[in-house]
Amino acid sequence: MWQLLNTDSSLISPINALVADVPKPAGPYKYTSPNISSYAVTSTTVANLGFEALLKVNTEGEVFYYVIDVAAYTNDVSVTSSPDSKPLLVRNGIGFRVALAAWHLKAGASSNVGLVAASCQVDGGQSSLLVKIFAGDVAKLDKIAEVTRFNGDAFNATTLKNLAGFVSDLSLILVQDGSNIPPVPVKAGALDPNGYSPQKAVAANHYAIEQLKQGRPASQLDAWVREHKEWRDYLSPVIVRTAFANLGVQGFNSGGTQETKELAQKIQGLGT
Amino acid sequence: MPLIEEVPVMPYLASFGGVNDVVLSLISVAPTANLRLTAKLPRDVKYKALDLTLVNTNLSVLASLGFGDTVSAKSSSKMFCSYMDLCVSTTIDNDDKDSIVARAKFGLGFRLAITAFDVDVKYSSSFASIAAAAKLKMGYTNYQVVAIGGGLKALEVARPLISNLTGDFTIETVETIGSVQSALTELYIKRNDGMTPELLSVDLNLEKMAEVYSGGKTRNYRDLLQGQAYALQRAQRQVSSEEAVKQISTRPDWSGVSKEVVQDFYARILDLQPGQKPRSEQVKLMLFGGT
Repeated sequence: MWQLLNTDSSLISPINALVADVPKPAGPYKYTSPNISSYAVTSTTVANLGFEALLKVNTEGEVFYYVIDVAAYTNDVSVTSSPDSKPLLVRNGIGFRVALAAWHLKAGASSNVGLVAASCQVDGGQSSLLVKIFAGDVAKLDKIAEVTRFNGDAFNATTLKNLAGFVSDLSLILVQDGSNIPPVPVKAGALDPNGYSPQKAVAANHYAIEQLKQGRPASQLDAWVREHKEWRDYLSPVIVRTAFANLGVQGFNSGGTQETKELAQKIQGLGT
Repeated sequence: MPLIEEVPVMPYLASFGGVNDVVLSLISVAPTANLRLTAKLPRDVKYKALDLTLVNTNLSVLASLGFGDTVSAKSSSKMFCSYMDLCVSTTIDNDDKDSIVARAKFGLGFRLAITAFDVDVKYSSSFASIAAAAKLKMGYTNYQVVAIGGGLKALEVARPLISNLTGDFTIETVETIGSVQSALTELYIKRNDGMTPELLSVDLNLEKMAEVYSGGKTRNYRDLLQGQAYALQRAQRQVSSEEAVKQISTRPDWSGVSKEVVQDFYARILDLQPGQKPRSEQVKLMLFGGT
């Protein structure tokens, strides 16, 4: 992906090894409000995260894998290097992680966990869940330990609602006992390994004017890059937005006016 | 000073590439030396309430803000992405003169990302109408919440929102947002008791960006766009820098092209001497994006 900051769960296992040497911060620990984040992942990632059991699904159709993190994070952010020296952003936290395998999904239902839950409820989709708790101390707390009863369960709208309920529980626990529970490395965000280059800035600006020439909105950047892999990691949405704004087009859903179309045409015509 | 206002960022500043206080969300926008946010918040911060406006955006921006679910969502042309800051905030001027970051907005509260699939475009403009579309079962809607600053003290007031952390974006969600907003205002504006706000968004200095992208040759963004568009086309036709600069005066349409921007493009970006002819493939990725 070409995101400025791409949260990539596949980077979690190397991170654990990397930060093992870093001295643990001393308590009391300060956590920000917990949240749920979910990711669609590959079978390899699911296995790397220690959920190998989910690979044993016996079906001829396609299996989709998801990871749902229910966690609270500390405010500290550190940047470190992965073994192949790509920059990584590391966050520490407490909470638990749910891995989900789903199959026999209705077409189009695989795009996020909400739709997966719905498909499993009404359209005959099937699923299986596994739960892991990040920080050992959290497991001692009854309310959180209960989450492991989901193991092996099917995933549906009720599960999703229950997970949200656990977030509330986690919030309360953080208020009462959180400052005594030491965090562990939870998440690593891969910072764009190539970062900025002058070529990328030229490309993003030129891309933007080309879009306005054709009357297309900035929101189509994602779809376009997916079809054109050579430009992956190359076109910064912030620079595209900047060039749009310079021609007087605000927001992501506007493709401009007849006037901006003509202006863009003039710019793109220079030197031709 | 022309600004690109309220570019949303993740609240992370860190040392990166030997430079301190870098706004990490921006590392593909400019060299790290131009991304520092050095201004510190005053001890006694006065917050103001934010207008609850829904900002339309695209999928990669939402992903860059840490909304994991949207990363997995397969975007289509019928997908609308937006976010809203449900926060109290304060804005400070940056004091690093080399930075493209002109101002920074810090806040306490929540950021909501809302995605709608297969919803008619006329319902995508406000969160109330998205909720209405969801009610009428016109497409799918989904929302996610990320907490910004505030620490643990904010939790009690936010419980209604947290327990609905992810799911359909409905009329009930809109009502919850309203009640959380008034509670937040009560908590932070009337009784500011030393909570830590986090970076929400930055305003970028357009003149400084033009300067960075043109190797210091112009502070006018339009000059940058025109000069580089011209240089790209000339380079594609294997015209050297020297020739390209001479040719500016051959057509009235081209008279506005900045000689310095063209020379900088050839020298700094293509790494060519004035008399050297470029190869067309050198500009391919820069020239044909989005065509």
